[in-house]
Amino acid sequence: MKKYLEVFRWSFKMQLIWRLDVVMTLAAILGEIIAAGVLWNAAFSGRELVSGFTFHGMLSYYLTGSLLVSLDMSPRISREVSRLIREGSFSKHMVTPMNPFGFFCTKAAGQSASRLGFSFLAAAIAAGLLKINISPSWALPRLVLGISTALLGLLFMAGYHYVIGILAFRFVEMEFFLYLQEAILSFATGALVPLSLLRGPLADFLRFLPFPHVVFTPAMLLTDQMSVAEGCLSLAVLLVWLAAILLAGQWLYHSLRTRYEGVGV
Amino acid sequence: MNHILYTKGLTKEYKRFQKEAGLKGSFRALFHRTYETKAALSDFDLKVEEGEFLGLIGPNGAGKTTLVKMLTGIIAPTSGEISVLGFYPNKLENAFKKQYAVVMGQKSQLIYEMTAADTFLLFKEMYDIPTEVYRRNLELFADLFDSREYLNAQVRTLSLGERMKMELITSLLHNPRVLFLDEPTIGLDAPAQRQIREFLKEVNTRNGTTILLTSHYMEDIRNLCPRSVVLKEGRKAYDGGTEELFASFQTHKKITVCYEEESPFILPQGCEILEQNGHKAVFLCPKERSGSILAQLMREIRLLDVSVEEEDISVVVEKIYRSHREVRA
Repeated sequence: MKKYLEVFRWSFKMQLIWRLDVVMTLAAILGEIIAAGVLWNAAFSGRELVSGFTFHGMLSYYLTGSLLVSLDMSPRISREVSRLIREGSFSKHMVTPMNPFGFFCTKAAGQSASRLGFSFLAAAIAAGLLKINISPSWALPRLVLGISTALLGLLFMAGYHYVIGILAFRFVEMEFFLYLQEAILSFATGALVPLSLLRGPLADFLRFLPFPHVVFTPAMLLTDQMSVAEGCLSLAVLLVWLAAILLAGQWLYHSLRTRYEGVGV
Repeated sequence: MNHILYTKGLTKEYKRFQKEAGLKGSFRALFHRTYETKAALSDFDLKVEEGEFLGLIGPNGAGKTTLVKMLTGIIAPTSGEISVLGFYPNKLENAFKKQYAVVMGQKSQLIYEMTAADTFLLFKEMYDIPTEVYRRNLELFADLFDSREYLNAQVRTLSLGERMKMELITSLLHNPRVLFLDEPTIGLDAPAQRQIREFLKEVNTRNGTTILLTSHYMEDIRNLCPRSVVLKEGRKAYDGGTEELFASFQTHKKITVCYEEESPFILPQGCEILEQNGHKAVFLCPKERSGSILAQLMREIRLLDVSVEEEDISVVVEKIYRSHREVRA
């Protein structure tokens, strides 16, 4: 366990080395929220409600969602793992006594933790600038459920991106696939728009996928726009997917690496 | 005898994608792929005892790195037997990984944004190194390399030589029983190469670490490895003493003579001229005849200076690589 704590620690420290990077991270989060505020302001002009959301409800959702999205460092895992495999440098993670998924997951957690402060700061500045009246839920069950779903969602995304990265053992070049799945994910997680805007079979189908429970569910729970019962169901769905992705990751790693030829790199 | 490293009939084959040149070839390859199967290593037998310092030499593509990858478990063999420290490497068990280390000259274990000391701390936890052992090893290795001053410098600001020293320290902190080194001195200047050689010699004798070294620098192999294995086209061409290997190919001596200009220099029979001008000649002569040839020259011309050297090591290496004869010891 101590080795993972050390990975977490250096990953956290590494985020604080480049000062411009720190400033730009803060600016990017702030910029995204303000842009969304301007867009939703236009969408709500002359209207009280859009699909059951008030303007402030929508911005509260978006603010919380942006915070969660900014903490999700998992896309870096698929990019790094596939690049390392392609370049032949993944071997350094194979020869050290540490589970590669544990390493990349903890590394991403360190990056998320270092971002947490900046993300909160950016969210607070954006809330002030846009005069968003955030009314988070302080009811304990809802808070615990929201935070647990968010953390498990981040873990699921780490597992998902690890699986995508590991596929480079088989397919080597993954760039196109990485772009495609990132575009789909930003929609399916609810990072672009609240998924409750969707109606019909697509909404029902999405509910049983893991992705909506990464951003949409925790953001809705934390902004008091989803019932605890619905949250519990989402958490159960997420847990099943989480177990499946973690098992798939371990199985794929062991089965693909033993067939990996690795010659010439 | 218990061997720390053992392989029998070890073979690694891989498929290589082939495509005709040009746009047409690229389109055709989209629909119809052709592969050829190549053997990176064939029927390779090896036994290494604990504490040995073994050199692995061979031209590019001979299978050296493939062998190291199989011994460290990075890739699985196609067939044959393999055992390192009593483990099947490709199972990659933690108990196995804690007992060896690998340094690949062109692949770094260091974290470039952080200091080397930060990487050491990470490895301390990764390998469960007791604090006392960690401190003792770090002090010892930093002293051997005289490198305390750059332990706390950001890795990306270190020179190639300094970085390689840090790589070696990282790999040795947990007292591995076996150390695999793949081109550790590649791209380094002569003083850095010498320092690394001395360091490795010390580690081998002081800790009894078994070391398997692949290098294109024959000075490394000759200085460090009493035993060498030569690989050619994926097969073992020689396994025996390094000095014996060089002696069997170092068949000539290089003689340089400087003489008074009016003296006529006639190349002795059986010798090969390398360089000649009005007052100097450099030539190769068979090793066993060098004494008599020198005596003959001293009788025939007025010599001003003479030097007799071993044949250039690079020439010997070329001979080893090009040789078609089996030099199995």
